[in-house]
Amino acid sequence: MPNLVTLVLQITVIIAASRLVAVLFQRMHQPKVIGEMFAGIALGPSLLGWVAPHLSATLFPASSLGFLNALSQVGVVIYMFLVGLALNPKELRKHGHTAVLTSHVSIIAPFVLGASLALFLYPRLSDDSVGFTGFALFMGAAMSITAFPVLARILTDRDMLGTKLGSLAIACAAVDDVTGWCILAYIVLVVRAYQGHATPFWVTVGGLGAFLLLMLYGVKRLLRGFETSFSRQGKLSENKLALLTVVVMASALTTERLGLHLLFGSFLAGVIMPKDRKFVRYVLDRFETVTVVLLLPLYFAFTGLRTSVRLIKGDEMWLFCGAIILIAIVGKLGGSMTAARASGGRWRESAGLGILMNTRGLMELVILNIGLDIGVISPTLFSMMVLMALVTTFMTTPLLEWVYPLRLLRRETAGAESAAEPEYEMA
Amino acid sequence: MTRRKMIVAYACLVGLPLLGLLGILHAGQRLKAPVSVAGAWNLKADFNAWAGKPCGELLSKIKQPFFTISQSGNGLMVALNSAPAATLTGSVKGTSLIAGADAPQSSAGADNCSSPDKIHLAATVEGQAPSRALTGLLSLNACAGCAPIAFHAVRQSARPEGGR
Repeated sequence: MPNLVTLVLQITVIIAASRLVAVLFQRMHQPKVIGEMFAGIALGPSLLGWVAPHLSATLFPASSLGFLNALSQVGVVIYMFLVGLALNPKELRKHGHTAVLTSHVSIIAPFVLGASLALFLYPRLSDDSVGFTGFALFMGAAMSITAFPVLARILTDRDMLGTKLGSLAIACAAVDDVTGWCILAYIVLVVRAYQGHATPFWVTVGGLGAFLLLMLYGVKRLLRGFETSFSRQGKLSENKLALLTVVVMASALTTERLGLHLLFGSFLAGVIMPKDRKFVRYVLDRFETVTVVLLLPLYFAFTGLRTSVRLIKGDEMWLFCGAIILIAIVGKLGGSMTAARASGGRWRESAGLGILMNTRGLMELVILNIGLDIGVISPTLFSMMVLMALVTTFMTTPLLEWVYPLRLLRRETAGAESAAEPEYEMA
Repeated sequence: MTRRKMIVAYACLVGLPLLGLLGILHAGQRLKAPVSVAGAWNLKADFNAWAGKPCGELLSKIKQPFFTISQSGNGLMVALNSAPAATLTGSVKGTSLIAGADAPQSSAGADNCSSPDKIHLAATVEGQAPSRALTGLLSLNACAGCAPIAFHAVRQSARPEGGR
């Protein structure tokens, strides 16, 4: 079968499966992204490859996965730009000390616990191509991530964006995202230096410094020009949108060439974009539909094809997997809750914040795929961590409903309607 | 929250764990992980030893890279580059590597060379990462007349394909 036909068939099956499962999950009051994640896993060796190996081999032959991977990576490059675009530093300023303390604790607590777990997992699930420092830092970073877009979606669905808890959670998640990606950039440098990567360490660090300066003092000015043009005409011309895409792709390519990863560049391009509410909404609308409906499901499916729950064999492996999930929850949920409480929050609010910050979603999958690509985690550990991402994301809505029921939320937000208008949200 | 309380809370909840992290990173330097063998391997062996037997044909059906190893700690999955695809499971302990069929077939004793998953590998890992080599014996389960043959394999790439 020609590769193009295979690819089109794969896209058809993936989108159909992803929409179907997403609808089922929405009926369970879950964000659709969780359904899409589950659909991706189901199309891989964990389910389809297990119950119908011949169908799986016909639909996803190993030789065709390069095309699927390339297409899905383009999707994530654009998606990371949108995540960066939706981040707004103003959110942080609203909450001052509380947001700084809570977000930093919500990173450091799971980070330290993840690194502690690495002491146990490194001799059992890693190999000597990775140094302990890189492995432990990666485990910490993977445990401490929060899915900013999924969090925004949950808050929007529950009409919580205008509440104190909702806006604090968004502020903390924004800080978490930026900090998490900075830490991950450092980890990629450490791991690639250990593995003797082709790009010398000093080239990466020096190049990154120069690139950051260029982005902050040169490209940012160009992007402000887009905003000015939008505010004058109420839209961006096709040429300007094309130029914006070129900026995102060039930024992604630069970080890749410097020895980091494509996604750091696209995220940075989004972060430095102007943050005028209407402008951000306009750009999100232009890029979001194709990315979220077409390309991201491919990424979930590609992640699913790399995830095999069957690699987690035997009681010992399942014990490791259970420990990873438990530590991820204790670190993130417990850490955020403790910090919020120490900052003067009520128990219910603090617990709600902890539950929200424990949402990992797609961002976790992105980080795990980077980890698997650069060889810092093994396929088995990757599968365990994917399960952790699914469990922690899935538990958010029911736990939040238990701790912060909608009826209570409505009572608290009554009279504060004007404050409840969301800045902008991502699908 | 007063500024002073904030500083104390920050020191306790962020500063102390950071010190703990440094301690963990220091303690972890003493840990040793299993030898890395993940990646695609080219294999050289004298397959003429099995000439004239169905098993000789079996080996000729496997292309280079002869196998690709996916590793998680000591555990290995060895995917042979054959059609139909066949996967062996194995382990690496110290510098000793073994791999074979996950569940041995019941056809022991009879010459049965139809499936590549009858291959069994026992080898020693040599060299420093990333350029590793394997030297050992390749044998066939369920093939009484096939004496094990010596092989030497060189790692072509340190990571299996499928990533970026």
